[in-house]
Amino acid sequence: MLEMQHIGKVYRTELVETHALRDFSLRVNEGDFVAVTGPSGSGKTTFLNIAGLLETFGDGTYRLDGEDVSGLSDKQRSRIRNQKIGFIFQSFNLIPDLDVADNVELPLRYRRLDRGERKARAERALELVGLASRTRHLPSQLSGGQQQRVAIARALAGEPRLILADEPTGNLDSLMARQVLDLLEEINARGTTVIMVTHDPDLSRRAHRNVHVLDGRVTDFKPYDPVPGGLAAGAGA
Amino acid sequence: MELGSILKGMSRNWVGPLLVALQVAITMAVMVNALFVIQERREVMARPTGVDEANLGRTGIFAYADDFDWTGEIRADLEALNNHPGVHAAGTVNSLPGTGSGWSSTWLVEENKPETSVQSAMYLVDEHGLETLGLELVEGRWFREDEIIDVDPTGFEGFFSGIVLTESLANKMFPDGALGRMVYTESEDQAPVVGVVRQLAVPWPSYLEWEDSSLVPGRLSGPAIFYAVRAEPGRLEQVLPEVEELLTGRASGRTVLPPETHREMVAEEFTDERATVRILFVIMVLLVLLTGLGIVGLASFNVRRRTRQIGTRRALGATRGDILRYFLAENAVLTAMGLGIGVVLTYALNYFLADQFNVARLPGSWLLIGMLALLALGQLAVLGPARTATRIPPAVATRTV
Ligand SMILES: Nc1ncnc2c1ncn2[C@@H]1O[C@H](COP(=O)(O)OP(=O)(O)O)[C@@H](O)[C@H]1O
Ligand SMILES: [Mg+2]
Repeated sequence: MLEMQHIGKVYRTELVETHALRDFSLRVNEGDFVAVTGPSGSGKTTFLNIAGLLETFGDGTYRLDGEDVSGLSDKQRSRIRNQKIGFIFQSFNLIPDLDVADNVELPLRYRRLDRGERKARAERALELVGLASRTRHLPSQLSGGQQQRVAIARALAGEPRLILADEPTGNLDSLMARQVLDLLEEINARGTTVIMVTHDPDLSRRAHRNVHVLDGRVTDFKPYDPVPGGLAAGAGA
Repeated sequence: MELGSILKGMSRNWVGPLLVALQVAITMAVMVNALFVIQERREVMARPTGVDEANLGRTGIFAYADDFDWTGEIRADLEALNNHPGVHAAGTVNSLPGTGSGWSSTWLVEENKPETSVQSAMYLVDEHGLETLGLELVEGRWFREDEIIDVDPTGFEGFFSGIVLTESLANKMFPDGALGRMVYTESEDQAPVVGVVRQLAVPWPSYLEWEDSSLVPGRLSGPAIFYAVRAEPGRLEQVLPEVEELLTGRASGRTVLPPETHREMVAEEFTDERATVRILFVIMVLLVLLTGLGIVGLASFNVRRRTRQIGTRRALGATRGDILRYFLAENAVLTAMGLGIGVVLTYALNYFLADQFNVARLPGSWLLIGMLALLALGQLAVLGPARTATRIPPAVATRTV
């Protein structure tokens, strides 16, 4: 599904150069559920942004779904994000002016689906997260856990192959966090690849596989063994 | 597009959009009406007067010597002027069209019937008048030298032997043909219509019956008189100073009035008018600029306020074009609402101007063009902020908390 080799990412400001990722190599197989852990500032979000085509990288190669994505235009990257990837953010990132249904339909709009198709898919996604009765609510009228479930419905509505979640439970209490993780497990069980950044060891333990990032590098893989040369092979457990 | 969500978004943050929409409405009302009035005034200023405007000038004399030979010196002046190279023709006049001041007279179509009275401008002209003013005689004849009588504005004996009307006035007074018909005055004088000229405007720019003029063979009896001087085509600027010199040197006991071109005199008459037009124009331009800035301000504010949401939209697959279109559509909705109110305001202002200042009714096409112009202005104004929005990177979605 995803294969990064020797990725380097440098942020340059006037004063400092930050090597957010260096020689970062990772392979994630179709259907995997990967938890990414690591201390703050180690490069987890940078990895996720590059994986999700939100940011470009300097060195190395990245193949997503078999396609080399390094030379793509901004428009092509937008289309891949829209069609293959579902994002879940720590602070939910629902559009405050749009109600629940409109939020969930948003990626489908950018896919130029017609109204009926959008409605049907949004309904299905909201049903899956248990919020079918709240379609006309505004985000501000929902609890944090509900908002994140709407965000998950939005990520699912486009039926992506890959879900990327950056600390999706970071702003939730433990009960709600567990509900969100239940959902992600369910989604993964249906065949969608999930990559989730988390601080919480309880949550990361539930993933098939843990990737530990330190100082911009992959330092540990569980329960899989690293392949020589720094490349992580996701051969079956 | 996301029309529904744009409207919903506006209804949740309605103060800014409402103010800008009102600004658009007021701008439309002022802009369309100002342009309409300006256009109307320009048309008024550009109306032809019927004389050979490009080559016509005016000078004159003021006699102060007690023993000044009024009739003899005028005859000698005119002879000198008419023989001067570069002068096409010269003659005496009491005033010129469009220059602000002149005489009016009341003619009666039927004797002793005040209800048949018609108002018109009255020009005193001499035998050179037709050539001097450059009028086009469509019927009858012009005045002979022996018909020119001395006219004392405070009262004079006898009456004119004939009268020439403009076509406009002739048609009004005598629809079945004017030539040979009698024109009467309220003081029981009368004169036949001897000729009809195509066109000659009245002296007063704001007078509505612009072409209702009459001409009579007469000459002021002193102490001042105007000479109209028509130069050969293109030689007016050169001829006028020569004329002044010629007149000054020719006789004593009088002052020569500084010559002016007809165009200068008309322009001077419209000085206030032009100032009004200019002020209107400046106010309109300022309002349009202010509205443009208001739109830029609101849009910039919205771009900043929505930075994270724009990043999120990008992350979900919106292209830069999608973001640009969103802001353009939002602006179009906002402007359209403003223009909706603007149509009402524009008509209201036009009714007021029509009522108070005789401005004509606004044609619908002006309204339509005004709306399109403001819609274009709105789109243009929002383009800058919208382009800023397209440059917000999608990574903002994960980087901003
Ligand atoms: N836009 C940026 N400009 C400069 N430095 C950045 C930027 N984004 C991230 N960084 C730096 O890159 C490093 C990795 O950041 P990040 O991937 O966000 O870490 P994590 O998500 O693991 O906390 C940090 O040192 C961070 O300060
Ligand atoms: Mg992070």
